[in-house]
Amino acid sequence: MRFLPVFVLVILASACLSEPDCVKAGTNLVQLRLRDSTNAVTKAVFSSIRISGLTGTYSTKDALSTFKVPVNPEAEQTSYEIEYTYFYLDSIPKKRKSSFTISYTAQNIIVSTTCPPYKLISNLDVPEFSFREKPLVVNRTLSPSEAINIEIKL
Amino acid sequence: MKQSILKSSFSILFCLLVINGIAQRSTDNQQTTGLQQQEDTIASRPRPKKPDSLKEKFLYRSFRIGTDLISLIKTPVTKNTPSNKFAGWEINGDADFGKLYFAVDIGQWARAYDIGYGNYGRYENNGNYFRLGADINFLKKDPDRNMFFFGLRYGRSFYNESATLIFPGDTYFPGSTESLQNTGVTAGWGELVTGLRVKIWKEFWMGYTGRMKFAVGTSGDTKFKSFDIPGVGSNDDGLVFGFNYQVFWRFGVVNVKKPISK
Repeated sequence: MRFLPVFVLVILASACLSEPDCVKAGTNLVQLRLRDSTNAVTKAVFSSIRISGLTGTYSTKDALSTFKVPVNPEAEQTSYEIEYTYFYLDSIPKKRKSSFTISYTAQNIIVSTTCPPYKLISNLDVPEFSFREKPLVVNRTLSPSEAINIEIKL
Repeated sequence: MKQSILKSSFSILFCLLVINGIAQRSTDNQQTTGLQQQEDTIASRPRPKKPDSLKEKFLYRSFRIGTDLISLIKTPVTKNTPSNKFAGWEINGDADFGKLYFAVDIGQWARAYDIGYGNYGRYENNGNYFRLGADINFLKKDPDRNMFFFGLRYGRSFYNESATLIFPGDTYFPGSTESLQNTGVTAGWGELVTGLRVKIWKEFWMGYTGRMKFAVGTSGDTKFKSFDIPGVGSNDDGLVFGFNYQVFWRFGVVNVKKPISK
């Protein structure tokens, strides 16, 4: 019984010998949610997504209510041009073309001496947009969790 | 996850040590009170009050100057290991005012790390720091004025840091390498300290200090979040623990008159 404190100390100290795991702490993906004019969550099929800083064009096969777009971690803002078909009142398909720009600040973070550094993207804003209403920024900091960052009213 | 468990474990252990110290003290008080009660039942007539020899007046008695041996040993040991290099020193001083000791620490700290064995870059810093605070000695009866103490410190650090960071790419954007510098960074923090000081020979003392550092705040780290703070260590969001093993020399001893028994 009198060796119990020593035993506890040895157990605690043994944790120092194992190196911590590198968990993914940062991301450059912005999670967007789509809403219709009645503020209900709606879905859209994206036939074209063009992102500034990238040469390719992206598209989706399925109708999505939430989707992720990357921001350029080396820039202060990233612009998007999207062509999509959304279903007004869940049935009437409507084709649209919109554009928006997301601005942000990127803070360089050194996690540890073993894990890769990352950029913490925060202070999200949508300074430019062609939607009827300004997209609502729900969560201003990007994190690997599935939290919604911006809500767009189509 | 493991780091947070480890931190929590040490926090709990630290709290237990604090509670243990307080419990020892309260046990002493209980024993003394029991003795007084016994005396009261034996002799009912009032006795003349004895002077409380344990009560120490707030008077200057001596001061000690010392240094941290761990910093002095780490400096030459890590000299030829550029992947994890430390160079620094720390001078500690305290002034004995009876139960209360006023403490000052000043130090210099330069650190260099390879990040991910160099695959993710390199980090370096260099700066100075100081701590100010006070300790309470819980060994009241010790004739040599040995110490088991708890105390508080406030620390400030002034430093520059630089890093070459290699950011891995993702599915969309390629990775990048950036050379960044934070100059004129300042940091402030609080510390809860505990430890021992023991008289070894004449005026030579040895001891250790355990430090629980909290509320670390930095300013001026604009290019990247400050990673290692001189005097603190890792710039984590939670608690940071530190340890010093120190040697001291005591100077300027002033004999304070003991209370005279009536």
